[in-house]
Amino acid sequence: MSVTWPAAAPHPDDIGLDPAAPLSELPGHSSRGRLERVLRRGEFAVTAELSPPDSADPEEVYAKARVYEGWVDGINATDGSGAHCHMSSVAICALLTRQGFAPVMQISCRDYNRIAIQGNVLGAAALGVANMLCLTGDGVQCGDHAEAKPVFDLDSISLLGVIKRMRDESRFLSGRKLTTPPSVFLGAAENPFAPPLDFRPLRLAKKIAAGAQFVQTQYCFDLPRLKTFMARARDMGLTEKCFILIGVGPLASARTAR
Amino acid sequence: MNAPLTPSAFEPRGKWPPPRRSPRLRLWAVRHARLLEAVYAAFERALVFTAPLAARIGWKRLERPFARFERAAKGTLFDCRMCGQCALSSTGLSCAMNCPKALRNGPCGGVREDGCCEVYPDMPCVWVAAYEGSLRMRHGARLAEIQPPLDNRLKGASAWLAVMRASVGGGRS
Repeated sequence: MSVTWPAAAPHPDDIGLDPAAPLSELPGHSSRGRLERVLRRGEFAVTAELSPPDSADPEEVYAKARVYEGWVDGINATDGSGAHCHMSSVAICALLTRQGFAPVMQISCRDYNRIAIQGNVLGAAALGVANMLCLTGDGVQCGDHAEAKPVFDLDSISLLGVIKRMRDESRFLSGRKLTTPPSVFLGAAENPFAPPLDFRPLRLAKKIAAGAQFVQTQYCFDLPRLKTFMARARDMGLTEKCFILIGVGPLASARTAR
Repeated sequence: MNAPLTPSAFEPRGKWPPPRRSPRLRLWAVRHARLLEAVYAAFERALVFTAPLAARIGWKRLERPFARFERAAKGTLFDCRMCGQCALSSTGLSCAMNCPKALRNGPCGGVREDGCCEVYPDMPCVWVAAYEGSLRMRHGARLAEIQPPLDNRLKGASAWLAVMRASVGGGRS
């Protein structure tokens, strides 16, 4: 979106020859990631989604990531999307940072409680993950393990608050101190097309208040509805506080389109 | 996609989602959110008024009867799950603990086009109801309040007693 931010930072393309080396710290930035830099410069950012393999071979992750090389500012590693079991998002992100890719780690509340999630956040940040996307997650009933126990200890909004607190106050949810906080750029998802439609912008505002700095929307096919949503978000001043990335995607088949 | 319904997502055990358009009381409560909001406001004043007396009787001694009464009253009206940290006033009088994902801050992105739950296609989404309820309420704007993560230790405890306790500066022990 066309948010204008003070563009004092050097372009991410201009710095560093080693793609795997972390970018330098910049004032006012909460991460060292490429995505945040591109967005804060007021440029158009592109993120893509990597569908995680059902495999223990890192080469399968690299092969999928190489398709995006040079084209995107962040690669989303999904966390058991559709409640199906795949390689974990932490592991995919760790593999991607080794190769110099900039991953966006998706965290779903379905599978972990607050202890596991905070541990993963610290671990992923230590492995060089600069972007995290907080999701509620699909219900287990949608997936291939419908008999599993759904956790949902946190929800996407309280999860944002938990990670924001770790980053900004250097504390776990329990209040215990961290020695080094995770420097991450926090994201959330939003679906402007699901009922209650009038509540959606309000929910976006809640996510931003809880800590979301960027938002990735669901695939958008219904443009009039998206316009209404964005107009509402603009009226509420949300586009000033947060970067909104609109989801677009090709239809896999005529059947999906219907 | 549509796997057979498993009640496992619902806690405590044995509560099935209400079928659509059935005259469940919790949907009635949402439709009469404004009335019930006023009723609760009066009730809360009574709770706060009697709090010093309750403090003298002893919180521990009151916990069991209060929880039992609260479970019966709110269980009937709202399908309350006794999370012990009631947020009904901030959720349009639609109990968020009836959401299969136990979302306390708003609907997920999976709500169906007809306003029904992603997990249970026959159940109206708790948060669609919450939004409707909040529009009817005088303090419906409280929907925007961010609810902290649940304290799972409080499950089964009386939220009313907690209100009384907080009013006399008692806190929880």
